[in-house]
Amino acid sequence: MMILLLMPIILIILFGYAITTEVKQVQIAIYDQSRTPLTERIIERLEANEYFSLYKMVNSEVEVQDLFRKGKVKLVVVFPAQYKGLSDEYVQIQTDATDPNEAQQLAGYATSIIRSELQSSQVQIKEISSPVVVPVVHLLYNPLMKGAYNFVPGVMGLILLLICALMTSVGIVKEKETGTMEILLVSPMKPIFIVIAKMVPYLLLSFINVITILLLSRFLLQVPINGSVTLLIAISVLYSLVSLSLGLLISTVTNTQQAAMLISAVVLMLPVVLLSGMVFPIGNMPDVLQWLSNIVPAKWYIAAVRDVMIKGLGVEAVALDITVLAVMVIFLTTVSVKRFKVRME
Amino acid sequence: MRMLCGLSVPTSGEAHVAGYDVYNETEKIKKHIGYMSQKFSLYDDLKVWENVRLFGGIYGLPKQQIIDRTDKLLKILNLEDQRNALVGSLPLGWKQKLSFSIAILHDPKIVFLDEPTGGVDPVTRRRFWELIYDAARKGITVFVTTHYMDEAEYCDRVSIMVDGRIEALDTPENLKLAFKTDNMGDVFYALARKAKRGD
Amino acid sequence: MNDIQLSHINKSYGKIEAVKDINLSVSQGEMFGLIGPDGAGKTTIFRILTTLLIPDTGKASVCGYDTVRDYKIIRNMVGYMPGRFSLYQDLSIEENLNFFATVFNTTVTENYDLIKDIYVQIEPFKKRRAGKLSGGMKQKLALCCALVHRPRVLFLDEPTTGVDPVSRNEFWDMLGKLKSQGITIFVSTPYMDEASRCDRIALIQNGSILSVDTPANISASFSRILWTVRANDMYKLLADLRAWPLTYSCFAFGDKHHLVLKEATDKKNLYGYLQMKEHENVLIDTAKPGIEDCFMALLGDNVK
Repeated sequence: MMILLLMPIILIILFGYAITTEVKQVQIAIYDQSRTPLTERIIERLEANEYFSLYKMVNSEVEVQDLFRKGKVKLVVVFPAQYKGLSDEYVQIQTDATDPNEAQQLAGYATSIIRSELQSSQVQIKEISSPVVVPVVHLLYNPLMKGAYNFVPGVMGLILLLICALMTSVGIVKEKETGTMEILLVSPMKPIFIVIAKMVPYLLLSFINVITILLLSRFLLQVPINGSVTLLIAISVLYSLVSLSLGLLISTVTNTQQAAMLISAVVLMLPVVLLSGMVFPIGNMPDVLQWLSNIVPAKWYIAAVRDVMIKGLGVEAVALDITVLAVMVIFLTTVSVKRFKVRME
Repeated sequence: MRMLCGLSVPTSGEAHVAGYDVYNETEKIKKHIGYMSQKFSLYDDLKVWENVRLFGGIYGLPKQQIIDRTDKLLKILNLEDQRNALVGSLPLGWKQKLSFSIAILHDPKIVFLDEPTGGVDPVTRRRFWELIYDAARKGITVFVTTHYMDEAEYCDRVSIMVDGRIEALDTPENLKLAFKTDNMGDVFYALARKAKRGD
Repeated sequence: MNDIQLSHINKSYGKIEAVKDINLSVSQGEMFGLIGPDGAGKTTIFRILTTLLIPDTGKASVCGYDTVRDYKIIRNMVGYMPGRFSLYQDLSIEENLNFFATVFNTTVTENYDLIKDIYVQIEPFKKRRAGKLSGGMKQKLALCCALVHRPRVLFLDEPTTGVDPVSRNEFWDMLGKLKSQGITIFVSTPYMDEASRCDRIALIQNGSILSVDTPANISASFSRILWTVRANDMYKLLADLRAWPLTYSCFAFGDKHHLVLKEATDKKNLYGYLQMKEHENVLIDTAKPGIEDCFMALLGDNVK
């Protein structure tokens, strides 16, 4: 009951203050090949700006690629050698466009900062009256700026959770409601088998769903699968297991299908939409929410899928995500199997 | 019973309840009937008097009349001390009586009772039938279904249904005479063992 | 040896005492009936015996095993049919039976002789989903499912509730056959007329047992004379009899009223009173009390 009254309050506050699509203090790197006073002034401006924070000055294109791959920075500004701010020169802005909206926004900010510094500088040098310097935006992983690059991992995170957690919890609670659970408990069958029997079909179902989504996104939406398909599926199965054990946990605390559904929706779905980084970048959230987002399994899953599928990274890049998900599976399964009652109340 | 209460329409044939047609005068029918099902159509999380007021309001009784009838009803049922008790906290037998009294609160011409006495103890069951008698004496037509054969004896007329057909329709006296027995159980048994369909 | 033993069992849900100080024993091969209305505590006793509930105090054992400590052993030996027909509504008769056979580590054919008589009655509908069956057929299917592993003790919680009288009769015939195969049967029912089908019965009300004995002994324990009275106007007759100072209790029983008096009197006295009240066609007789009369008398004594 309370949850119905609190929901709008929480949502309004979250959306109003905490969760925003605006960017702040985004880590960037700069590859300055000219090192003139002009580029230093521009760098100073970029640094001073609240949107960006300088992660590192780099000295080679290889280093740039490496930073992107490791996910250390989201944007790199590359100044050509002997840059004087003339109209036939160009500053290169590279972004990690796995999230195309964010990438476009960041590139826009950087462009306008550079442009305004050039304008004020050129007023001093008085060379050209109205300079038009257009930085070239290079979209590293998503050259066509397709939204699908972002939402495919998100949809996978959502669907798997929906199928596994919601269906498992509802399935088990339904047996409680109809009374069949009473007979199963009185049978010699071990409770762990009841649980496994409830989970396996949904695990298979989610496996098929992962394949379907991957095929659709590859051939219909033309989103490339850059990394290993096996790794991608392995991570998805792991994430499904997390979701299944969450569903099991929900089934142990509820007695009606309605309650199970409500809890699955509010306690599981909402964080996935809000805190997984699927819609709103986690980097811009207040510390509390950033910290909270760490316990949302979907955050780790979606990040891992982006790394493997879009960036084409290998298993070392997603080792942390896999470890976190694995720990979650072990923890949740232990808790829910312990909570699963061999009796009634 | 559903067709008679205007909740569903017959595939064919004619039927009238309280003088109204079951095909196109269902709203009028609903005004003139009372209905009580096995599951006691009361709100467990409302107080006794709130339930009375709610149903009085639904049937459009004036405010003062609801207040008067609530007092009268609670007095007859001996529930005056329980006026502010939640219906959910009452024993099954009391709920059942309250439910029946509310079903006839608006002075319906007919009251339909769908297995009203399932699962209650034998004393409560009989006390409940005394309420039914009382309503019938006041001129309300009572239409009741039951699985208890002794309850069939309390009725003026009974119909025994087998596989969707009325196999017998008469007074208990005449039925017992026709089947040469002294109890309704035998009459029912003789008719119902012919049942063929499984649903 | 006693297959079921309950001693000083208490169980409360919050403030509500579901059962109070229950003591019962059921010997091997006995058909024992727990008779009482809804909310009397029947289901709680079933759940304690089938290891689904832990009693607050007291000890319960089934086949000599403690229901709390040895619950895993008991779950291998008992068959249980809960109050609601707990079948998978979307599985067919056949599928339900096979499923429960698998759950109990057996096959339908292994114990087919035990369920054969019951199963043949529903076999013509074996492809039909359980959700689409009539009450009587669901009841038979649920019984088959509870028997599929040849349990030593069979627990049936209100198996005949909501089932028509013919099916109820047939059902008790089936239980009789199972009993003759040596299965201990513990069954509950709100229908008093079914009590006579049991070897022994316990009458239960408000969580307490009123009496435990054979149906015949319980009937015999009725200490007063039971009069049956009828007349043309049965409703007025009831009111007049209740108003009579000598009346202890009077209730409608089918086409007669059952009357119990506070003190012995003769037929003439009663007849005279009813003449005075202008009743026509008065018929007065005495009758052998049934379980329902006894239950009502016990209830009355408890209330008063």
